[in-house]
Amino acid sequence: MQKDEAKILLIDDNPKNLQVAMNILSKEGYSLIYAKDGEKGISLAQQDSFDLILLDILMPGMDGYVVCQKLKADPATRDIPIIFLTVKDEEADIVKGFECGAVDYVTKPFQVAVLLKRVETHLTLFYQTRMLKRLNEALHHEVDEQVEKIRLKDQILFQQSKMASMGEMIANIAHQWRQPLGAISAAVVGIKSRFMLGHFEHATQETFEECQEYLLKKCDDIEEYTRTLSSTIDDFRYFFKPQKRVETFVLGELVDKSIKLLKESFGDSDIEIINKVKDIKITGLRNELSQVLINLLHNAKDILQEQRDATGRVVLVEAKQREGRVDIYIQDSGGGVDEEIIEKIFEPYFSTKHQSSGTGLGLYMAREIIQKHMLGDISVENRSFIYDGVTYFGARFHIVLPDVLKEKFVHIVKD
Amino acid sequence: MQILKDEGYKMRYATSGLKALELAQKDEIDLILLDIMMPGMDGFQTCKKLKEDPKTAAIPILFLSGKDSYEDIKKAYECGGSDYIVKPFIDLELKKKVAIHSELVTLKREVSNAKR
Repeated sequence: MQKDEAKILLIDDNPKNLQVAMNILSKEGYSLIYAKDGEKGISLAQQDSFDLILLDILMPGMDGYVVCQKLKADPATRDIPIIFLTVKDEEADIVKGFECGAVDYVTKPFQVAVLLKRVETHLTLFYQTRMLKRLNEALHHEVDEQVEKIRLKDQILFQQSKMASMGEMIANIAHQWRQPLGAISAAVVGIKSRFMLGHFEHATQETFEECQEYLLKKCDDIEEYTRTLSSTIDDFRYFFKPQKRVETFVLGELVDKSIKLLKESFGDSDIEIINKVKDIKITGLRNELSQVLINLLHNAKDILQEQRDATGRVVLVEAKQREGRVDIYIQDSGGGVDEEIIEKIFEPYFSTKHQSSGTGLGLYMAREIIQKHMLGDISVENRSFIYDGVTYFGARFHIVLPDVLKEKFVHIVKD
Repeated sequence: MQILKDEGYKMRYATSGLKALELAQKDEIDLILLDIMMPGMDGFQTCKKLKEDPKTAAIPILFLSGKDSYEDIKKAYECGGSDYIVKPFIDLELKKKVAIHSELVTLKREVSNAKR
């Protein structure tokens, strides 16, 4: 506290008192302003900012109590500490002063040491309160900033992982389109070559029918292939469409659909995905759950493909519903996650894959989606399981979801 | 003592200056109410000793005394006292002053914590 920064307002009608108090206090370096009556004092207090007010009780017109009450009633002046000036030890006066909101009193005639000490005490109290308030504000500000930073970082992560999975999906679309496109092109080439060879022009009565049949067949094929192409587009568009509302869906079908979206990237590998999920109904965010399933299945695929001499490459998807929750298990035969890193696999930017194939965000996003968007949880453990009489060992991801997600809890990260 | 107990403060008491010093060092005391006239070490000496010891120097000391001469009051402040209440005291005054000085202690603690 700097004494010369402290501004004190003195309200007293007695010029002699004013003089004495001013002398004592200005010697200490305080800056002082005085008012000779209550009205003037109040208006001064409102105009300027004071750190302390010394207030006489006995004044003509408005007395000290009224002035004190008025100052305490005004938010602009309420926090300024008020010390009463009173004639020697009138108990009733002192009590009344405290009750009006004063913090202390000083008796007249002034005892220098008492006046100075009390002024100092209440200025210190005032400054410490103000400093604590400022420090708290700064702290709050800092906390807000950090929260905002984290939110932005999350948003970027979300965006990045979305781009990554979009890239993957585009590769998948390319895969899925190659075959029907090739077939369409083959059909067209076939028709064209027959045309050029004069099959149609020189058709006899019998071969004409055959030609007609052939053309119709090829048209049907082309129609079928284009339907496949457009349904692929629908599947992917549906997958990327941001979802704002919960909907009820059959889990088994969603698993099937997710597997289908991934099928091409599994290629010709001998990986077997078994969907044992029955017709469990879930109300929740379908597309987001599909994104998580695809991510987990994709990871399982990567692990299984790395395994050279596997006895069998199996991914088993199971689920059960009970007491308002659904447990989904995705178990692979990939040998399990290294126990040393199993704790870390949900952390952002943690990846076991080579830089080029993994962003390290997949599982992090999966957990974000499950926990924050769907109010569930996801965990992983290594365990063995028996399928078709064979015992396998690998990682098992366990997703727990409420079977009915209430709409009001849904909040989607805006993108 | 009863007045302050009723306000919810935890109280310890000492019947002499020496005992007061002992207590202040042993226990975590936030505020000391000190009489001047005591057998052996008087209030001023006790106050000085408390202020000299870094362990107890920060504890505010309120003098509570029947002596009301300016000389005594001044001396009390000079030894490091934070305030001086003349006996017989007004209940409300005692309560307010104890509240203010313990608030000041808490505030100073919080400010230094917040700064860290």
